[in-house]
Amino acid sequence: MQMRKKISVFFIMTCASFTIIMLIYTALAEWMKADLTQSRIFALFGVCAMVAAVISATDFIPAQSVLVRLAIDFADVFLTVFLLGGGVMKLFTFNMKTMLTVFGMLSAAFVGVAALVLANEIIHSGEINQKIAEMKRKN
Amino acid sequence: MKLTIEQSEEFDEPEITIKCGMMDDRLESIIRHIRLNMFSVTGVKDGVTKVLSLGEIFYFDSIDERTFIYLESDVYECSMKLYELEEQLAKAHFVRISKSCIVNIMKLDSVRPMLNSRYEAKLENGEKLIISRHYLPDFKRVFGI
Repeated sequence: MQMRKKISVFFIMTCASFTIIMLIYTALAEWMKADLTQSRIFALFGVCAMVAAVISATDFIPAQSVLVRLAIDFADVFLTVFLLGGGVMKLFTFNMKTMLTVFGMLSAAFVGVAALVLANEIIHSGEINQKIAEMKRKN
Repeated sequence: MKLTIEQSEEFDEPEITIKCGMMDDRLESIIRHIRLNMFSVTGVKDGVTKVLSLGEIFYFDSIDERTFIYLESDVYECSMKLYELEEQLAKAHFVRISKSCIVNIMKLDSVRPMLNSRYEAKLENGEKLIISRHYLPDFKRVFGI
């Protein structure tokens, strides 16, 4: 059960971040002079999946503060994208313009996924509050 | 559901036996309530030892390897470790919500989501506790989510 939930969170993170990245990439493709080839699309999906996997893995690092947790997640995203996407897969070159563009895209994807997760949690917390109220009524 | 109570001087200790074909939510809730009221924890405050029933405990918190029992407006120290309590209270209304805290879900007032997949739990006495991302799936599972 626990594993199933972790896998579903992994897929939600991968798909949401991939969708956001693809939308921004498509919008900026001409300006960035980057072609959206088939192999590039698969590579972007691979990077998104790897980021989600790294975030799931570092979830076990105990962090009491929200800021520390945010910093860990942010580091997961940026290190994976720059090392894997930029370094290994050569999806972008390391110059100032590209780096700033990638930074902006990642920040947008990060905020987008966080908003999606928060929206999901708002639904869950509503259900929990309903069950708490039911428990109190029964007692 | 049939309730049979036998009262006699020949019984030294009260004994509860539940006979059922299938376990449903209502029955599970009754069993949890029995556990909650049957078991107790010993707490120490100002050198005075007191036996506390689980029903009056709001949460357990561990600070610097010392475990504290939080009631509505009182705090007692407990000799047990948090992991020992977690094992013993797993079938009662208690759930681990962070590395240092186990909460009595019967004392919850409400929860609200925070940034970064954490929840803030508000207790009946107005206190607020953080449910960490790591323990959130276990917390949700208690509520069938």
